[in-house]
Amino acid sequence: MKKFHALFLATLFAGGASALRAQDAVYDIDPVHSTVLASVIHFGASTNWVRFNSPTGSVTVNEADPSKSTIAIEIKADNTDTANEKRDQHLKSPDFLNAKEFPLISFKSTTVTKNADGTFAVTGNLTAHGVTKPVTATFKAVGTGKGSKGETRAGADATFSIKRTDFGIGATFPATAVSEEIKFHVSLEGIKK
Amino acid sequence: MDAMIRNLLLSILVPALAMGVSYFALTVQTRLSRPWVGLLTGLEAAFAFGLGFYFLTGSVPFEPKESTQWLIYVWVVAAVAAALLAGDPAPATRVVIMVAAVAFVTFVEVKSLWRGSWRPIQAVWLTGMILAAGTVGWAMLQLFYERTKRGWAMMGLLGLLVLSSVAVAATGSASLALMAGIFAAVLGPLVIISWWRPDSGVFAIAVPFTALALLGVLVNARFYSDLGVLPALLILLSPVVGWALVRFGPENGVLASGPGRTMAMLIPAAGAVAYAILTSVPSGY
Repeated sequence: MKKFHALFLATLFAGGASALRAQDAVYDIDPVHSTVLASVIHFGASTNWVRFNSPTGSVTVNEADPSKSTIAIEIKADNTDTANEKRDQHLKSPDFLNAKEFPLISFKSTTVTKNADGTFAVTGNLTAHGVTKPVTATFKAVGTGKGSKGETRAGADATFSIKRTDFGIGATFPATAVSEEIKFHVSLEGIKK
Repeated sequence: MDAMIRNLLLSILVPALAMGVSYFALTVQTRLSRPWVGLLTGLEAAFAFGLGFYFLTGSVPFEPKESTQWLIYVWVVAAVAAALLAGDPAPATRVVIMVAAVAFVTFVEVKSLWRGSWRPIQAVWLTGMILAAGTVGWAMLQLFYERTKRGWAMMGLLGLLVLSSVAVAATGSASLALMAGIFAAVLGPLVIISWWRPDSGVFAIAVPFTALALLGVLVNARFYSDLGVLPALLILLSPVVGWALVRFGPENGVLASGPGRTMAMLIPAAGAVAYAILTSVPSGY
């Protein structure tokens, strides 16, 4: 969401003088055209990817004052998808996400800051596996456009990292098996309300 | 992989060693009464389990945030129950103590499911069934334990935990399987004590703990992980078989002997292991 906000703001600031408005614009995240990916290093040998399908949420963009913008994203832990059923089950088990006990993974922004390079630093609280910790994501605008029904769409990409054991994820698996660092790669597309 | 094996070995061996020393010390002492020995045994076992948990996960969550972390406190509940039961209370009081202990473990293990996964009627029904199964299973294990030669009875209780651990491992939940493994490691040294000093007060913890640990592990494995209904029921069938053998079984012959009863009691749990292994999805994962 923060990425989306950043993208939208960047787009507006860069090329959309006519779009500069003081009021908030609210976007609903399109779960079909948004993607949340996470990667870890497996046994130190390769990068393994996990996709969290159908993220939902909303982005409120304050064009005049980016710091007043907000992003909120929710993902069902049950939407974990690695293209391998057994591995999906394992990731959703108490060994990792414990999806039955902690069904939602969420991010809610607390501050949004524009960086010198035009990207946005979005800090917020990430809740996963029942643990809430602050994280900072870097958002980069992708663009805006009109959908098939004339709706306004805007999107942004974001990256951030977490230390999985900070969230109690996979605590029984040492870093030599599954890397401590999980890198997130997020692409959001929002539909203006 | 080396770190995984090291963590696994430490999480099993350290608690087993610590409790071996503890059981020995509590057995040779003569000052403490049986209720106090029961309480101390359980509290020390909780500490030993915490050590195992630490070696396995790198932390000890004193404020449990998820159902698996609550398993640390099963020993504490068992310790209190063992101390109260060691005072030889009236039958009605015994039942109240057992129901209260089972209710506590059931509540902490299923409370998340009440919010997220279960519908209201389903939640009431399933919680009631778990409560009933836990209490009845405990009573059945108690009868099996009382009427079977101590050493073999202890091997039966330990076998139940070990087989449950293997069945859970076969369904893919490593952490839960390891928890059950640590439970077995903490209980394990009691088997040695049982052949040396079968009348020691430390055995007060054996049945309360086995019943509550089995309950906690099975609830976790069935409802938070992927242990199937059939293997879960087969494991629960083992105490029923043990109870049936001592209550209605032959008075002579193989099934009346300690080894015979123990082996027969463990057959359903062994079946659960076989079923879980045979039906686990071969995915290459």
